[in-house]
Amino acid sequence: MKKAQIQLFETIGVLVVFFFLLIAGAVFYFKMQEISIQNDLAQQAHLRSLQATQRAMFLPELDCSFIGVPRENCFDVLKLKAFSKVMQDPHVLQTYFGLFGYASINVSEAYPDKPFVGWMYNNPLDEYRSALKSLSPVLLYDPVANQYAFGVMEVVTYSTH
Amino acid sequence: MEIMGLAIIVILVSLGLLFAVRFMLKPQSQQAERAKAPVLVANFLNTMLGTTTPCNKRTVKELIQDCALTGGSTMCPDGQHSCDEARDIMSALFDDTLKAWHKDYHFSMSGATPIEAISFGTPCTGAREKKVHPLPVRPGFEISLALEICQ
Repeated sequence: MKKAQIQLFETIGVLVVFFFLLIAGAVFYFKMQEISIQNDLAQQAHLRSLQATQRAMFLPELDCSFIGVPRENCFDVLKLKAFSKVMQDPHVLQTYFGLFGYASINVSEAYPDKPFVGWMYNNPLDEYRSALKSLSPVLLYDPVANQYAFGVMEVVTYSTH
Repeated sequence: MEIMGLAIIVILVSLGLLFAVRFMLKPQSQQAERAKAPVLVANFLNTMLGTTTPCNKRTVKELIQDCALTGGSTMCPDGQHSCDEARDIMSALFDDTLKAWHKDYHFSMSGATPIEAISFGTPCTGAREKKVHPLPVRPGFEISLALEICQ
């Protein structure tokens, strides 16, 4: 009777250890999965930010073109000012939603005078969990003075996860 | 025999923990950051070289070319020579952008003695994104501009 009881306790002990390891393993596995998904989402958010920056950089509406040849990495300030004004119309903003999504794109002059600051696109999320900021140098061409200023384009993309 | 089982369990748990720690310490979104860096370096150099300066409406590129070729013979309206003017403007641009964005960088030029004295930032010790931009001064005479952003 005593031997049988000892064997029973042994079996119960082994089962307790087994289930403990099983549950610990499952918790660990699901935690890893959660971290992996979070990493993937963060990666996607970064890529979306990069995509929005590249799309804004090569927007044909704002390029500095000379005899039909666009200059790389350059915005025409007059076009930019007009574009900024047009973008205040929610219908126009909606047209560009497919390109930029929930983002804010701002262009400012860093050199020489720093007078120009303009919104290229402003469609932020009211409630967001993360906002990624990306800064990119860009030439600002003033066709009246025929001069180029050093500008900075700031792209902020918003996401809910 | 039981000891063997216990040892195996301990080894498995240790391996799991090691894997977990490695996984958690893995830097996030490194791939996207790596994709952004070359664009930033290339855009910065292109933008800087194309910027018009108050020195007779010349661009930074033209000032650098003049500095490399003549050692700074062009006199700007503020009384500075092209080499000093280019240095001051580039310094202001780096301060207002990369430095203000807390990015470590190093900019240097080579190919002519007057421009080799101009450099900004400190050389990167670890991983970096570097772009070397060749700049022709006149036929057969070319200088190089190198910008690296530390990662």
